[in-house]
Amino acid sequence: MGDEPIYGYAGHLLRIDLGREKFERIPLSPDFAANFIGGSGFGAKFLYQEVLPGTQWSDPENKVILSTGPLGGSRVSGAGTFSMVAKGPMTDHGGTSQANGFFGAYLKLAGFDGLIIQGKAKRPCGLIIREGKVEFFDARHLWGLDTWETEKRVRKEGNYGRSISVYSVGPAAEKGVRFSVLCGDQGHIASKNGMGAVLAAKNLKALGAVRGSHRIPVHDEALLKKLAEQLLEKARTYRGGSIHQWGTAGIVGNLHLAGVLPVKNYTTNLFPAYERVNGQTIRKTMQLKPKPCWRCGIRHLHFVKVLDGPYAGTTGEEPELECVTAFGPLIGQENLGAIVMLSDLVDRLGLDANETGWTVAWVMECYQRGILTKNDLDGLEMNWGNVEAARSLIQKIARREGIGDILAEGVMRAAGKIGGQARDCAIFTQKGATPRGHDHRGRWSEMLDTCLSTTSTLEATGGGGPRPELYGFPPVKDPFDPLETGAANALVNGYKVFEDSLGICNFNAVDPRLTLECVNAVTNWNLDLPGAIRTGLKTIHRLRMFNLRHGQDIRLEAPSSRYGSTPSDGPCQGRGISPHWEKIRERYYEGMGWDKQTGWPLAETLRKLGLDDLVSDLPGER
Amino acid sequence: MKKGDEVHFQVIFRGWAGELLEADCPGGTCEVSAPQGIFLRDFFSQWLQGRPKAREYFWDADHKRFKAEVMVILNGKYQSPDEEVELREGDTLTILPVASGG
Repeated sequence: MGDEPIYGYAGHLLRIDLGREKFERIPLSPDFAANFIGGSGFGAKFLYQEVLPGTQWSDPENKVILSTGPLGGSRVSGAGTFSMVAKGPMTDHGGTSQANGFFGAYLKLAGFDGLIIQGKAKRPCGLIIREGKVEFFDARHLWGLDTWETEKRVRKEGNYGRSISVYSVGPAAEKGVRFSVLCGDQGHIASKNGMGAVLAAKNLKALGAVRGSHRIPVHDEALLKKLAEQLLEKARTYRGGSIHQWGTAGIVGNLHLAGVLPVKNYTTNLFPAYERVNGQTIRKTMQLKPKPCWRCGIRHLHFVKVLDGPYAGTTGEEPELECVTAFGPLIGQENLGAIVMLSDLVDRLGLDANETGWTVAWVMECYQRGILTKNDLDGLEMNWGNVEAARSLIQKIARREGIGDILAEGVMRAAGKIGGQARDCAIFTQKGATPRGHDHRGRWSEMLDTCLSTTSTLEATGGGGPRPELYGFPPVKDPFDPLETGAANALVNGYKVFEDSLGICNFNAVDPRLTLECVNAVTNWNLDLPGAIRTGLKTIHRLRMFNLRHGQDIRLEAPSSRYGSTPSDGPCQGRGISPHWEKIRERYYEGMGWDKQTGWPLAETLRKLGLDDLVSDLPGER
Repeated sequence: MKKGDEVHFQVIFRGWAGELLEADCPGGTCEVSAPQGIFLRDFFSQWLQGRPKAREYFWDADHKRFKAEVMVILNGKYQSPDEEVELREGDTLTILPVASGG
């Protein structure tokens, strides 16, 4: 085992014990690779097996599993992605988070398909993974630095130049902010479920992978070349080539017209200035320098420099859609330069832009309504659109200073602490997972997915809805039909999580069949779509079982009162999901093969998926 | 057809939907006439007959409705194309590509 090359894999995982400063190379077997694929699949497997009920997210016994997959490091466009899996502080349960850039590819070229990070270092430390080994280094001098500065210092101190991919946690994670992230390759983020806080609790400040000489065997290189070109062409022209041409923020206008743009903490759906903050305006008014990920031909990202207005001279990564929504319409401001500044600030501090946006917007509404006063907010006047007040508040959150200490717990917990009317207007899922930067009241499938997901973020949907036609099923007839919403999410669930196991960016994997052909060309497997969906479902069920065994309460699988409220204006005015919630959830459970009352997977569902080993962990089966 | 037998309305195709129809609808906007009493879904079914490329992208011929890739907004409100909605004089129909981003 581990001696014969496995097509598509480096052939080893790396277990790193931070407390003992030891590492172990774990050989992969072909069966293990085929069963668990990589990314979220590897992560769910080890999390379930090795992190026992009773373990808290900040305990040394919690583990972070960071893996790429069979496409990672290949010639396929955007194959530098990795997926992280751990028990995280937002949901207090297991979850996954992905980031792009180069790390996934460089990790494989250094000889590893994934990392299992365990224990807790005695003092702040860093890791460099290079040519089949790990070097531990003292990172006390980096503690307190922002993520961009940390990356720069690691690169410079090792004289690595561009041959290393560095990810790090920022000051927010060091202070235990629940929605802190792992940031690397200058602005790429593993943002969900507080992965930064988990690593900081282990005293791990930074990890780097040096591009090495390890060869990844590919079964049919010529075929892969042809398929990769076809997939790239599909990705470039997908939906009119909007992402390639305008970046992810190119759709701000369409989100607004569809009633899915989040405006002023969901108090309205109207934002007449939407064209001032869209991707088209970014591209036309800012200085741009391309910033592609590993072998990416879409090249949707740039470094930007603001050229005019009050934030002229500000530089940073081109804001993605979710940053634009968080720091534009959601907080009621329309200055694009301010969006660049606030996006750069949260990336450097190591905060999740989505949760930061919900938090700032919620505070602004509370201030407007007199629920929170200037006195409560350390003197800040949190009027809608007050960018400088937002900047100060974000810095307070990252330092856990004053009101920032409460807000650092995230919207759900902060609202619970303040209570009353403040809780009624806060946007969160009852499980603590952070909604993406949309107004999901106009997209029921994604609200359902966000509230019920086992991954802590979108799991079944993404790309605008469940889209069953991509997998050979009839398209959704009415996106506001409760029964259809529940059924469609369950019908397609599995593929996206499978995709998160491949080591490829989902803006490149736009065609599931072609993506699978690439996987088969690399691995010499014969996977089809049903097989891929089934593999993803296994991962989902492992995470579901993990979370339920760790005490997750299914009564919390619901939106907060404001998140599930009825839009009072805009295209989706009057379409409220809450009266239908129980029915939708029940239909989803039924489609997933889960007990409608308890939410636990049925024994027959687990057996059907080949997860017989989990059956004995069901209540009453021991 | 006599003038009184027709309704006139505006159809706006946004984003790549507009780019597909640039030849027919410069800038993505068309002024359209149709028989009075026509339903939304029947209008599009007929209108797209002569526009095969757009039809392939937008229209699910088996189910006679828009694919999930597009969303219909009638006079600023979401409209399910499957409901029997009659188009009226002065209506504005917006066809939006479904959009999402990270």
